[in-house]
Amino acid sequence: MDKTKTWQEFLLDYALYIILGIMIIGVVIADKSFLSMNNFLKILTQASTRGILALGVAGLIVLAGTDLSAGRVLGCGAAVSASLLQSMDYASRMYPNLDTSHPLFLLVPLFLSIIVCVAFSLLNGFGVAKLHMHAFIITLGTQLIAYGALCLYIDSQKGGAQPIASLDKRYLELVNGKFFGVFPHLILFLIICAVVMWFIWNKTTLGKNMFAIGGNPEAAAVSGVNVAKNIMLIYLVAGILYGIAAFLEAGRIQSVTTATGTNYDLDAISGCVIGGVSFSGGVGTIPGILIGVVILQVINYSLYYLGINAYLQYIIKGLIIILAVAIDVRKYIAKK
Amino acid sequence: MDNVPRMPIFGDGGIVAISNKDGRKFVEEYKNQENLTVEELEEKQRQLEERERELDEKASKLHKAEDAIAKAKYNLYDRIDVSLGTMNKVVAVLAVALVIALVVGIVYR
Repeated sequence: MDKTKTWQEFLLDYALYIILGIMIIGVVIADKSFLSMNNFLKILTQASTRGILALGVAGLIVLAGTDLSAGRVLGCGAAVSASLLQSMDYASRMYPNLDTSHPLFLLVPLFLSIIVCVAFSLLNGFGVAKLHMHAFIITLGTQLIAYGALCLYIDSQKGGAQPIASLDKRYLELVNGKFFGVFPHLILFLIICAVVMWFIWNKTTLGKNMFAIGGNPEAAAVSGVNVAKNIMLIYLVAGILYGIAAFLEAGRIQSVTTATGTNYDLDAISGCVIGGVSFSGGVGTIPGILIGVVILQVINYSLYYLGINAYLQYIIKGLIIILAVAIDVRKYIAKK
Repeated sequence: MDNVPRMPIFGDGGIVAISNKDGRKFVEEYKNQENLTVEELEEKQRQLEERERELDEKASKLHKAEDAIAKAKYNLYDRIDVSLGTMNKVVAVLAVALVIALVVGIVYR
């Protein structure tokens, strides 16, 4: 009887991974080239910017919060980066007065993108840390503010709301280039961000405080943790990651519009949930987040490979997220 | 205590001893007592009150710490008042719904 119960528990705990595993096996059987190195690198490249975004959002989920504005904030950062790095010989540049003889140093738009994203993030952090607003509400408001700001910025172009495109070759080479013609730069940037975040989460006081606050804010406070300050710092780190992701995403898609960043936050949150970051707070690992993001990208690819209707793909992705959270809740109740 | 009458001996600052037939015994007892003026007494009272306040504050901090640690963790999932059996059924239903959606998507592509 106990053995059967253990099997049942195993099936329930890993239902999501079992179903996704079977789906991927089905895709591989249907098309063996799905598992080729080229395909795998393509999947990882597409997952890179979303992975960096997820690393930022994950910290906020560990704090038992969320960030619905991540996607729109990324859009704002991407618009700033792209507008400053348009090709010098493009006639409809957003800033035609930029000195064409001295192209802008690539780090300048990166810093500006980070500043824009950090500003929005700190606004969220202030609402959560000082005003004690729920993260869902404040980030919902910031999402709309960021979207309005993005639309105004893109609409401020001479020719109206046209896509910000025709980007500088240096920028495209930095983002889309490959080491030795094989290993994409984007994957390296993701690995660097993941290593830095792993260090912050596991080897610094900020990381320990983050888990303590997410686990039990009152106990953290009486233990001497400055809860408000640490929450603000976590939001600051998230903003920096959004800025980096925005800079890279603009170079990857090579055309920024008002729709850039739409639903990116949902993908980031889904990746975190699939990767084991708990919405109850205080639980999460960097490898788990990376695995969750890659799994989500593999799901996107698989659904596309299987030729499933685009609208039905939304339903399937929604069911995956709900199932991941239900399994997390079940584990929490079983532990209680 | 015996019924031998005692006579107080006064000095600077009040009673310094009580004497009787065994005067020496009682003088020794009272020798340990401080000779305090009114101002010194008031100062001592102030110090005692301050010490009491500090002890009250410490006690309240300890109570807070106890409450925080003993209190059940308040989070998103604490609101869910569902049994494990029910949650198992929910997970099973969602898993089946996902499989059905995938099968429908593949069949009707």
